Amino acid sequence: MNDDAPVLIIDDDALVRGTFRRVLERTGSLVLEAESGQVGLILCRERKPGVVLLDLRMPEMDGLEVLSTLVAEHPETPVVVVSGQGTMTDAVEALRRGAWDFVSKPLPDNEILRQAVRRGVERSALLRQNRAYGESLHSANERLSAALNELRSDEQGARQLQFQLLPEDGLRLGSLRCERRLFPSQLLSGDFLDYFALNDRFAGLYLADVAGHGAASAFVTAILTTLVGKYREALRTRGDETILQPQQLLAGLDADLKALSIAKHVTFFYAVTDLQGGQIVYGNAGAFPYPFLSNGQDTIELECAGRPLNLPGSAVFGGGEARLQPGGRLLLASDGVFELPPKRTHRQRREQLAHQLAQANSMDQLVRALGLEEGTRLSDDVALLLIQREENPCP
Amino acid sequence: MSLGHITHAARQGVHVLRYFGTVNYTLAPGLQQFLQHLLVDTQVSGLVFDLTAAESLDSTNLGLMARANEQVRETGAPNSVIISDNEDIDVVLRSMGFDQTFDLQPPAPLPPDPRLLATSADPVVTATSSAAELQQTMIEAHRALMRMSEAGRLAFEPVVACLERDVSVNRA
Repeated sequence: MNDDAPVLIIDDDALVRGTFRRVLERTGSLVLEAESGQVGLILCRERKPGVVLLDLRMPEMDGLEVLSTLVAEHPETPVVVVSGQGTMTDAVEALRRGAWDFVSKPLPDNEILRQAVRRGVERSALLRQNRAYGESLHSANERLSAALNELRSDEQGARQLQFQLLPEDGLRLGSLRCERRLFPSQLLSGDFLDYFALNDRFAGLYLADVAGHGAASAFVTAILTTLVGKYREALRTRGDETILQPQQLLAGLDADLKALSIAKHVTFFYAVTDLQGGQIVYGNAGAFPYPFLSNGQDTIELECAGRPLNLPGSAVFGGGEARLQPGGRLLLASDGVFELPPKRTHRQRREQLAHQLAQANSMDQLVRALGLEEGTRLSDDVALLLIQREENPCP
Repeated sequence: MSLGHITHAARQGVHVLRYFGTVNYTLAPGLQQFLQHLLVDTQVSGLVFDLTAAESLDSTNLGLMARANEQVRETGAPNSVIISDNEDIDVVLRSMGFDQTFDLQPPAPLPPDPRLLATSADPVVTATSSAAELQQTMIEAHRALMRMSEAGRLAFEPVVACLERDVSVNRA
């Protein structure tokens, strides 16, 4: 329907129809005539007029009755009612039943009729436009919801995968008690950690953070566990000692990731710990904050700058050696700790963490001290890995 | 926390990117496209990342900087310059070993008289320039651009707007 749609005049008086026709045709309107309500309704169904001019007083079918049918069948077609003995009650009743406008006859002014028709056409065009917008918004909204649901299910899948791959919390490896927490942010990101026995003498542990957000980053963490698993397997089956040498492992993982052409870099801290003596050999590929080592009252950061994995160019990794004394603690934290409220500079946060590590006897205490609770809304993932060496290791 | 944005200006082949506010991954796709366009289609003799107005940079953006730096180094350009006086950012840059492949610089004070600049900041980058000279050129270019920007003679272009303009010019 458009501005060219005809104007339908329903009136039993041929003289009135003729007058209206001339008035409207002068301004270019196409006009249809019906001499009764029944004919008018048929024409309405067949010709889809843009506006209907309806006489209220007609023999046979009454104008108000025709109006009710018109409104029910064509709610978007404007109906302007016309009445010779136009009383206010007629007008009010007509408007109540859904007429859009009201003109009296004889016409006080031709322009009044033209205006009424023009207003009707405009209003009906607006109404159609509005409905079209509404429909297109509705369908766009449905498409968006569907896409969002798909993303959510991707994200859930990735998150589930991440959690399934996490090591057992509270695992004992020799004299070491290993605890971990992973607090995911609203936006899934790529924090991950793991610890495992390598053989009778050594345990390995790492904390990784894949750059970026979303399911893709989370899936890269899954790839990492597979890659690390490959080196664990190589030690077990072939005696390949790469996994015992942090620098070599980092170089190996760097090459592996580059071969996969994943355009995401990964910060990765890896340490091999002697289960008996507590010696730690570690390598770092850009993980920050540096690990905290607390032996008694003395907490230090294991400063070890190094280039993240999977960045172009030659890689130089950080590393060093340390010792976990009986009763000592090693804490790895992802950089999400810097985003925790209240806002602190990196230096303040690190000092706070060092202090909290010295005070806390367990992961639970540490998590409470950091103000981290289940359901806390975080802007970045927070991963924590706490290794404690027992005072008196069980035989 | 202020919403991040990045602006760009160039002088004699030295391209300066200024980072403002909290620069996170939402800016990365636009910046990546811009950098690709810049590094592939333009003769880039040096890159300067000015982080003095940045509050923070996330890992995605750090990765982009590292990749862009490797790309310009491959073409024989010197290590890109990072200008920063934010301790939080500096410590992260160093933890990732950026001090090995970038030239980390504190902000240089601007020359007091802009007129001095016309003579002091026009070194010509030639193929025979030593690495140290190239570095100096980049610092000078940065200083020159900053001075021009402050004097209102040259606006740093918002990176994405600049990208859009370039794309539409190419289409025309």
